[in-house]
Amino acid sequence: MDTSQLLRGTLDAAVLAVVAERDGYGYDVLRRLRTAGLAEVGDASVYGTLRRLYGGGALTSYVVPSDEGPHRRYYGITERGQAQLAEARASWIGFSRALSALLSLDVEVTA
Amino acid sequence: MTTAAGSSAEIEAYLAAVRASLSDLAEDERADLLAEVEASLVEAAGAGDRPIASLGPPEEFAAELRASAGLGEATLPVVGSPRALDTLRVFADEITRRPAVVAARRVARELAPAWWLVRGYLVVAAIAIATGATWSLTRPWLPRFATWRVGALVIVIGVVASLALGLLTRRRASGLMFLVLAVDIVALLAIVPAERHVTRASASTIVGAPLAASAVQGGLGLLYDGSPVLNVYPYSRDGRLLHDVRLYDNMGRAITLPLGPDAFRRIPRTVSGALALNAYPIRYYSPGTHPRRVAHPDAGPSISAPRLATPPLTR
Repeated sequence: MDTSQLLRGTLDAAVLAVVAERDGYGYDVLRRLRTAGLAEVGDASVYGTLRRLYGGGALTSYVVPSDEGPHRRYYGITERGQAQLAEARASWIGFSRALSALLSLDVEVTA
Repeated sequence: MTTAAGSSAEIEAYLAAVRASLSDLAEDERADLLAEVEASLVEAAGAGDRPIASLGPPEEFAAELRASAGLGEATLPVVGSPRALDTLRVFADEITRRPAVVAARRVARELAPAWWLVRGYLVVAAIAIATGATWSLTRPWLPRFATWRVGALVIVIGVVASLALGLLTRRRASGLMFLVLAVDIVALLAIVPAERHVTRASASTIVGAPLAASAVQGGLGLLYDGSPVLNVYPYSRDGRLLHDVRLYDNMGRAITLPLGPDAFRRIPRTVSGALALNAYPIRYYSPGTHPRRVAHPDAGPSISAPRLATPPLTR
Protein backbone atom coordinates (compact mmCIF):
# COMPACT_ATOMS: atom_id res chain seq x y z
CA MET A 1 0.00 0.00 0.00
CA ASP A 2 1.18 3.55 -0.81
CA THR A 3 1.74 5.04 2.64
CA SER A 4 2.46 8.49 1.22
CA GLN A 5 -1.30 9.10 0.97
CA LEU A 6 -1.74 8.11 4.61
CA LEU A 7 1.15 10.38 5.60
CA ARG A 8 -0.45 13.34 3.89
CA GLY A 9 -3.29 13.46 6.40
CA THR A 10 -1.30 12.57 9.47
CA LEU A 11 2.01 14.36 9.09
CA ASP A 12 0.93 17.27 11.30
CA ALA A 13 0.25 14.90 14.17
CA ALA A 14 3.49 12.99 13.57
CA VAL A 15 5.60 16.16 13.55
CA LEU A 16 3.85 17.52 16.64
CA ALA A 17 4.43 14.21 18.44
CA VAL A 18 8.14 14.24 17.61
CA VAL A 19 8.60 17.85 18.70
CA ALA A 20 6.50 17.28 21.84
CA GLU A 21 8.95 14.57 22.84
CA ARG A 22 11.94 16.88 22.43
CA ASP A 23 12.66 20.19 20.66
CA GLY A 24 14.25 19.65 17.28
CA TYR A 25 15.42 21.36 14.10
CA GLY A 26 14.33 20.48 10.58
CA TYR A 27 16.74 17.71 9.72
CA ASP A 28 16.59 16.31 13.25
CA VAL A 29 12.78 16.06 13.08
CA LEU A 30 13.03 14.40 9.67
CA ARG A 31 15.54 11.84 10.94
CA ARG A 32 13.47 11.03 14.01
CA LEU A 33 10.34 10.52 11.90
CA ARG A 34 12.22 8.12 9.64
CA THR A 35 13.75 6.31 12.57
CA ALA A 36 10.23 5.91 13.98
CA GLY A 37 9.25 4.01 10.85
CA LEU A 38 7.98 6.72 8.52
CA ALA A 39 10.68 5.97 5.96
CA GLU A 40 8.77 7.50 3.06
CA VAL A 41 8.29 10.90 4.59
CA GLY A 42 9.67 13.59 2.26
CA ASP A 43 12.14 16.28 3.24
CA ALA A 44 10.10 19.11 1.74
CA SER A 45 6.93 17.86 3.41
CA VAL A 46 8.54 17.98 6.83
CA TYR A 47 10.16 21.40 6.39
CA GLY A 48 6.96 22.87 4.97
CA THR A 49 4.87 21.32 7.74
CA LEU A 50 7.19 22.75 10.40
CA ARG A 51 6.85 26.23 8.91
CA ARG A 52 3.07 25.94 8.66
CA LEU A 53 2.67 24.68 12.22
CA TYR A 54 4.96 27.46 13.39
CA GLY A 55 2.95 30.03 11.41
CA GLY A 56 -0.24 28.67 12.97
CA GLY A 57 1.11 29.04 16.49
CA ALA A 58 1.38 25.31 17.21
CA LEU A 59 5.16 25.54 17.39
CA THR A 60 7.58 28.08 18.71
CA SER A 61 11.08 28.47 17.36
CA TYR A 62 14.51 29.70 18.33
CA VAL A 63 17.85 29.83 16.60
CA VAL A 64 20.92 28.03 17.91
CA PRO A 65 24.26 29.05 16.37
CA SER A 66 26.31 26.25 14.90
CA ASP A 67 30.06 26.25 14.31
CA GLU A 68 29.81 23.57 11.66
CA GLY A 69 27.37 25.23 9.28
CA PRO A 70 24.26 27.40 9.06
CA HIS A 71 22.45 28.23 12.29
CA ARG A 72 19.85 25.71 13.35
CA ARG A 73 16.27 26.76 13.90
CA TYR A 74 14.86 24.64 16.69
CA TYR A 75 11.16 24.10 17.11
CA GLY A 76 9.31 23.47 20.36
CA ILE A 77 5.65 22.75 20.93
CA THR A 78 3.30 25.42 22.30
CA GLU A 79 0.14 25.00 24.34
CA ARG A 80 -1.86 25.34 21.16
CA GLY A 81 0.29 22.62 19.61
CA GLN A 82 -0.29 20.38 22.62
CA ALA A 83 -4.05 20.86 22.26
CA GLN A 84 -3.81 20.16 18.52
CA LEU A 85 -1.79 17.01 19.22
CA ALA A 86 -4.29 15.79 21.83
CA GLU A 87 -7.12 16.31 19.36
CA ALA A 88 -5.23 14.51 16.60
CA ARG A 89 -4.43 11.65 18.97
CA ALA A 90 -8.11 11.22 19.90
CA SER A 91 -9.18 11.38 16.24
CA TRP A 92 -6.56 8.85 15.22
CA ILE A 93 -7.51 6.39 17.95
CA GLY A 94 -11.15 6.51 16.90
CA PHE A 95 -10.30 6.27 13.22
CA SER A 96 -7.81 3.43 13.62
CA ARG A 97 -10.19 1.45 15.79
CA ALA A 98 -12.96 1.81 13.24
CA LEU A 99 -10.70 0.91 10.34
CA SER A 100 -9.12 -2.00 12.22
CA ALA A 101 -12.56 -3.37 12.99
CA LEU A 102 -13.65 -2.89 9.42
CA LEU A 103 -10.58 -4.56 7.97
CA SER A 104 -10.86 -7.43 10.43
CA LEU A 105 -14.53 -7.87 9.44
CA ASP A 106 -13.54 -7.85 5.82
CA VAL A 107 -11.01 -10.55 6.42
CA GLU A 108 -13.53 -12.71 8.26
CA VAL A 109 -16.13 -12.31 5.51
CA THR A 110 -13.81 -13.11 2.65
CA ALA A 111 -11.89 -15.83 4.44
CA MET B 1 31.17 9.50 -1.93
CA THR B 2 30.92 13.19 -2.68
CA THR B 3 33.62 15.53 -1.48
CA ALA B 4 32.69 18.38 0.80
CA ALA B 5 33.34 20.92 -1.94
CA GLY B 6 31.36 18.93 -4.43
CA SER B 7 28.45 18.63 -2.00
CA SER B 8 28.54 22.32 -1.28
CA ALA B 9 28.38 23.24 -4.97
CA GLU B 10 25.64 20.69 -5.52
CA ILE B 11 23.62 22.08 -2.62
CA GLU B 12 24.10 25.63 -3.87
CA ALA B 13 22.87 24.74 -7.33
CA TYR B 14 19.91 22.81 -5.97
CA LEU B 15 18.94 25.63 -3.61
CA ALA B 16 19.19 28.17 -6.43
CA ALA B 17 16.78 26.13 -8.51
CA VAL B 18 14.35 25.75 -5.58
CA ARG B 19 14.64 29.46 -4.89
CA ALA B 20 13.78 30.26 -8.48
CA SER B 21 10.67 28.08 -8.23
CA LEU B 22 9.57 30.02 -5.15
CA SER B 23 10.24 33.44 -6.64
CA ASP B 24 6.63 34.56 -6.26
CA LEU B 25 6.82 34.32 -2.46
CA ALA B 26 7.69 37.29 -0.26
CA GLU B 27 11.43 37.57 0.18
CA ASP B 28 11.40 37.03 3.94
CA GLU B 29 9.19 34.01 3.66
CA ARG B 30 11.27 32.43 0.94
CA ALA B 31 14.46 33.11 2.88
CA ASP B 32 12.97 31.48 5.99
CA LEU B 33 11.90 28.39 4.10
CA LEU B 34 15.22 28.00 2.32
CA ALA B 35 17.32 28.65 5.42
CA GLU B 36 15.66 25.59 6.92
CA VAL B 37 16.35 23.49 3.83
CA GLU B 38 19.92 24.68 3.46
CA ALA B 39 20.80 23.90 7.06
CA SER B 40 19.35 20.42 6.70
CA LEU B 41 21.09 19.69 3.40
CA VAL B 42 24.43 20.87 4.75
CA GLU B 43 24.05 18.63 7.79
CA ALA B 44 22.99 15.65 5.69
CA ALA B 45 25.99 16.20 3.43
CA GLY B 46 28.25 16.47 6.44
CA ALA B 47 26.89 13.20 7.80
CA GLY B 48 28.07 11.47 4.63
CA ASP B 49 24.62 11.10 3.05
CA ARG B 50 24.01 12.15 -0.48
CA PRO B 51 20.78 14.00 -0.01
CA ILE B 52 20.42 15.76 -3.36
CA ALA B 53 19.91 12.51 -5.23
CA SER B 54 17.03 11.56 -2.99
CA LEU B 55 15.29 14.92 -3.09
CA GLY B 56 13.98 14.69 -6.65
CA PRO B 57 13.81 17.57 -9.14
CA PRO B 58 14.06 20.99 -7.45
CA GLU B 59 10.77 22.12 -9.00
CA GLU B 60 8.94 19.17 -7.40
CA PHE B 61 10.73 19.77 -4.11
CA ALA B 62 9.65 23.43 -4.19
CA ALA B 63 6.06 22.48 -5.01
CA GLU B 64 5.96 20.01 -2.11
CA LEU B 65 7.56 22.55 0.24
CA ARG B 66 5.03 25.16 -0.80
CA ALA B 67 2.05 22.81 -0.44
CA SER B 68 3.15 21.53 2.97
CA ALA B 69 3.70 25.05 4.22
CA GLY B 70 0.15 25.90 3.15
CA LEU B 71 1.25 28.57 0.72
CA GLY B 72 -0.87 27.54 -2.26
CA GLU B 73 0.27 27.07 -5.81
CA ALA B 74 2.76 29.29 -7.57
CA THR B 75 1.31 32.51 -8.94
CA LEU B 76 3.51 33.56 -11.80
CA PRO B 77 2.73 36.53 -14.03
CA VAL B 78 1.17 35.56 -17.37
CA VAL B 79 3.17 38.02 -19.44
CA GLY B 80 6.28 36.86 -21.29
CA SER B 81 7.32 33.39 -22.29
CA PRO B 82 8.12 30.87 -19.56
CA ARG B 83 11.66 30.57 -20.85
CA ALA B 84 12.20 34.33 -20.68
CA LEU B 85 10.75 34.40 -17.18
CA ASP B 86 13.00 31.59 -16.07
CA THR B 87 16.02 33.43 -17.46
CA LEU B 88 14.96 36.60 -15.69
CA ARG B 89 14.40 34.72 -12.43
CA VAL B 90 17.78 33.04 -12.59
CA PHE B 91 19.41 36.39 -13.34
CA ALA B 92 17.62 38.04 -10.40
CA ASP B 93 18.61 35.11 -8.26
CA GLU B 94 22.25 35.53 -9.24
CA ILE B 95 22.11 39.20 -8.30
CA THR B 96 20.51 38.58 -4.93
CA ARG B 97 23.14 35.98 -4.05
CA ARG B 98 26.10 38.30 -4.57
CA PRO B 99 27.95 38.89 -1.28
CA ALA B 100 27.48 42.68 -1.36
CA VAL B 101 23.76 42.33 -2.00
CA VAL B 102 23.43 39.65 0.68
CA ALA B 103 25.28 41.88 3.18
CA ALA B 104 23.14 44.90 2.28
CA ARG B 105 19.96 42.90 2.68
CA ARG B 106 21.14 41.58 6.03
CA VAL B 107 21.76 45.14 7.23
CA ALA B 108 18.39 46.26 5.83
CA ARG B 109 16.69 43.40 7.63
CA GLU B 110 18.31 44.37 10.92
CA LEU B 111 17.37 48.02 10.45
CA ALA B 112 13.80 47.22 9.42
CA PRO B 113 12.32 47.64 12.95
CA ALA B 114 13.68 51.20 13.08
CA TRP B 115 11.92 51.93 9.78
CA TRP B 116 8.71 50.42 11.12
CA LEU B 117 8.81 52.88 14.04
CA VAL B 118 9.43 55.86 11.78
CA ARG B 119 6.84 54.62 9.30
CA GLY B 120 4.14 54.59 11.99
CA TYR B 121 4.83 58.22 12.85
CA LEU B 122 5.05 59.29 9.20
CA VAL B 123 1.66 57.77 8.36
CA VAL B 124 0.08 59.70 11.26
CA ALA B 125 1.87 62.86 10.06
CA ALA B 126 0.54 62.23 6.55
CA ILE B 127 -3.00 61.97 7.91
CA ALA B 128 -2.52 65.21 9.87
CA ILE B 129 -1.21 67.03 6.81
CA ALA B 130 -3.93 65.64 4.54
CA THR B 131 -6.73 66.57 6.95
CA GLY B 132 -5.29 70.00 7.73
CA ALA B 133 -5.00 69.22 11.44
CA THR B 134 -3.27 71.78 13.64
CA TRP B 135 0.04 70.99 15.32
CA SER B 136 1.23 71.61 18.84
CA LEU B 137 3.15 74.87 19.10
CA THR B 138 5.36 73.69 21.94
CA ARG B 139 6.01 70.30 20.33
CA PRO B 140 6.04 70.96 16.59
CA TRP B 141 6.35 67.25 15.78
CA LEU B 142 3.04 66.50 17.52
CA PRO B 143 -0.14 66.81 15.44
CA ARG B 144 -3.32 67.76 17.27
CA PHE B 145 -6.44 65.72 16.63
CA ALA B 146 -8.82 67.80 18.75
CA THR B 147 -6.18 67.84 21.53
CA TRP B 148 -2.48 67.06 21.67
CA ARG B 149 -3.22 64.08 23.89
CA VAL B 150 -5.33 62.48 21.16
CA GLY B 151 -2.52 63.29 18.72
CA ALA B 152 0.01 61.52 20.97
CA LEU B 153 -2.33 58.54 21.32
CA VAL B 154 -2.78 58.32 17.55
CA ILE B 155 1.01 58.32 17.13
CA VAL B 156 1.37 55.48 19.64
CA ILE B 157 -1.35 53.51 17.86
CA GLY B 158 0.28 54.19 14.48
CA VAL B 159 3.70 53.05 15.66
CA VAL B 160 2.34 49.88 17.30
CA ALA B 161 0.29 49.04 14.21
CA SER B 162 3.32 49.60 11.99
CA LEU B 163 5.47 47.32 14.19
CA ALA B 164 2.77 44.64 14.15
CA LEU B 165 2.53 44.89 10.37
CA GLY B 166 6.30 44.58 10.08
CA LEU B 167 6.41 41.49 12.28
CA LEU B 168 3.51 39.90 10.39
CA THR B 169 5.25 40.64 7.11
CA ARG B 170 8.43 39.03 8.34
CA ARG B 171 6.53 35.87 9.19
CA ARG B 172 4.02 35.52 6.40
CA ALA B 173 3.91 38.32 3.92
CA SER B 174 2.10 37.08 0.85
CA GLY B 175 -1.35 38.32 1.89
CA LEU B 176 -0.10 41.67 3.19
CA MET B 177 2.27 42.62 0.40
CA PHE B 178 0.02 45.27 -1.18
CA LEU B 179 -0.95 46.74 2.19
CA VAL B 180 2.70 47.03 3.21
CA LEU B 181 3.56 48.57 -0.14
CA ALA B 182 0.77 51.15 0.19
CA VAL B 183 1.76 52.06 3.76
CA ASP B 184 5.42 52.35 2.80
CA ILE B 185 4.57 54.65 -0.12
CA VAL B 186 2.38 56.89 2.08
CA ALA B 187 5.16 57.06 4.68
CA LEU B 188 7.83 57.84 2.08
CA LEU B 189 5.67 60.57 0.51
CA ALA B 190 5.13 62.12 3.96
CA ILE B 191 8.85 62.48 4.75
CA VAL B 192 9.42 65.79 2.94
CA PRO B 193 6.21 67.64 4.00
CA ALA B 194 6.51 66.39 7.59
CA GLU B 195 10.16 67.43 7.78
CA ARG B 196 9.34 70.85 6.28
CA HIS B 197 6.49 71.36 8.69
CA VAL B 198 8.54 70.46 11.78
CA THR B 199 11.48 72.61 10.65
CA ARG B 200 9.26 75.60 9.88
CA ALA B 201 7.21 75.24 13.05
CA SER B 202 10.36 74.92 15.19
CA ALA B 203 11.82 78.05 13.61
CA SER B 204 8.67 80.12 14.09
CA THR B 205 8.28 78.93 17.67
CA ILE B 206 11.79 79.93 18.58
CA VAL B 207 12.12 83.16 16.59
CA GLY B 208 8.58 84.36 17.16
CA ALA B 209 6.19 86.14 14.82
CA PRO B 210 7.74 86.28 11.36
CA LEU B 211 5.86 89.45 10.38
CA ALA B 212 7.73 92.74 10.73
CA ALA B 213 10.04 91.41 13.41
CA SER B 214 12.13 94.57 13.15
CA ALA B 215 9.16 96.84 13.83
CA VAL B 216 7.68 94.99 16.77
CA GLN B 217 9.46 92.63 19.08
CA GLY B 218 8.42 89.09 18.35
CA GLY B 219 6.76 86.77 20.86
CA LEU B 220 6.27 83.06 21.34
CA GLY B 221 2.55 83.12 20.73
CA LEU B 222 -0.17 82.39 23.22
CA LEU B 223 -1.48 79.03 24.30
CA TYR B 224 -4.68 78.16 26.10
CA ASP B 225 -4.60 74.63 27.53
CA GLY B 226 -2.11 73.73 24.81
CA SER B 227 -4.20 75.19 21.98
CA PRO B 228 -2.92 78.20 20.04
CA VAL B 229 -4.78 81.45 20.68
CA LEU B 230 -5.76 83.04 17.36
CA ASN B 231 -7.19 86.32 18.61
CA VAL B 232 -7.68 88.33 21.83
CA TYR B 233 -10.79 90.30 22.75
CA PRO B 234 -10.25 92.93 25.47
CA TYR B 235 -13.32 94.33 27.23
CA SER B 236 -13.69 97.56 29.24
CA ARG B 237 -14.97 97.90 32.81
CA ASP B 238 -18.47 98.47 31.53
CA GLY B 239 -18.44 95.40 29.28
CA ARG B 240 -17.71 97.03 25.92
CA LEU B 241 -15.39 95.44 23.36
CA LEU B 242 -12.25 97.57 23.00
CA HIS B 243 -10.31 98.02 19.79
CA ASP B 244 -6.60 98.36 19.07
CA VAL B 245 -5.56 97.47 22.59
CA ARG B 246 -1.82 96.79 22.66
CA LEU B 247 -0.61 94.02 24.95
CA TYR B 248 2.84 93.55 26.52
CA ASP B 249 4.14 90.89 28.88
CA ASN B 250 5.98 91.27 32.20
CA MET B 251 9.28 91.82 30.34
CA GLY B 252 7.82 94.60 28.25
CA ARG B 253 7.74 92.45 25.14
CA ALA B 254 4.94 92.89 22.66
CA ILE B 255 2.58 89.93 22.83
CA THR B 256 2.02 88.83 19.26
CA LEU B 257 0.49 85.75 17.70
CA PRO B 258 2.47 83.64 15.24
CA LEU B 259 -0.02 84.02 12.42
CA GLY B 260 1.02 83.67 8.82
CA PRO B 261 0.99 86.60 6.38
CA ASP B 262 -2.54 87.66 5.44
CA ALA B 263 -3.19 90.44 2.89
CA PHE B 264 -6.59 91.17 4.46
CA ARG B 265 -5.35 91.56 8.03
CA ARG B 266 -5.72 95.06 9.41
CA ILE B 267 -2.43 95.90 11.16
CA PRO B 268 -2.46 99.28 12.90
CA ARG B 269 0.67 101.43 12.63
CA THR B 270 2.38 103.65 15.17
CA VAL B 271 3.01 107.34 14.47
CA SER B 272 6.48 106.38 13.30
CA GLY B 273 4.98 103.96 10.82
CA ALA B 274 5.94 100.74 12.68
CA LEU B 275 3.49 97.87 12.57
CA ALA B 276 1.68 97.18 15.84
CA LEU B 277 1.30 93.43 15.66
CA ASN B 278 0.25 93.33 19.31
CA ALA B 279 -2.95 95.36 18.79
CA TYR B 280 -6.11 93.41 19.61
CA PRO B 281 -8.55 92.23 18.56
CA ILE B 282 -7.10 91.43 15.18
CA ARG B 283 -9.50 92.55 12.46
CA TYR B 284 -9.67 91.69 8.78
CA TYR B 285 -10.68 93.89 5.84
CA SER B 286 -13.61 92.78 3.73
CA PRO B 287 -12.35 91.68 0.30
CA GLY B 288 -13.20 94.05 -2.56
CA THR B 289 -13.73 97.21 -0.46
CA HIS B 290 -12.12 100.54 -1.58
CA PRO B 291 -11.00 102.14 0.58
CA ARG B 292 -10.48 99.02 2.61
CA ARG B 293 -13.02 98.56 5.36
CA VAL B 294 -13.68 96.16 8.21
CA ALA B 295 -17.30 95.16 7.75
CA HIS B 296 -17.99 94.06 11.33
CA PRO B 297 -15.57 95.69 13.78
CA ASP B 298 -17.31 94.14 16.80
CA ALA B 299 -17.51 90.62 15.43
CA GLY B 300 -16.24 87.95 17.77
CA PRO B 301 -17.21 85.03 19.97
CA SER B 302 -20.26 85.29 22.17
CA ILE B 303 -18.74 86.80 25.30
CA SER B 304 -20.57 87.78 28.46
CA ALA B 305 -18.48 90.46 30.23
CA PRO B 306 -20.65 91.96 32.99
CA ARG B 307 -19.94 95.48 34.19
CA LEU B 308 -17.31 95.55 36.99
CA ALA B 309 -18.56 96.63 40.42
CA THR B 310 -15.13 97.20 41.98
CA PRO B 311 -14.27 100.93 41.91
CA PRO B 312 -11.72 101.86 39.25
CA LEU B 313 -8.09 102.36 40.17
CA THR B 314 -7.02 105.91 40.76
CA ARG B 315 -3.77 107.31 39.46
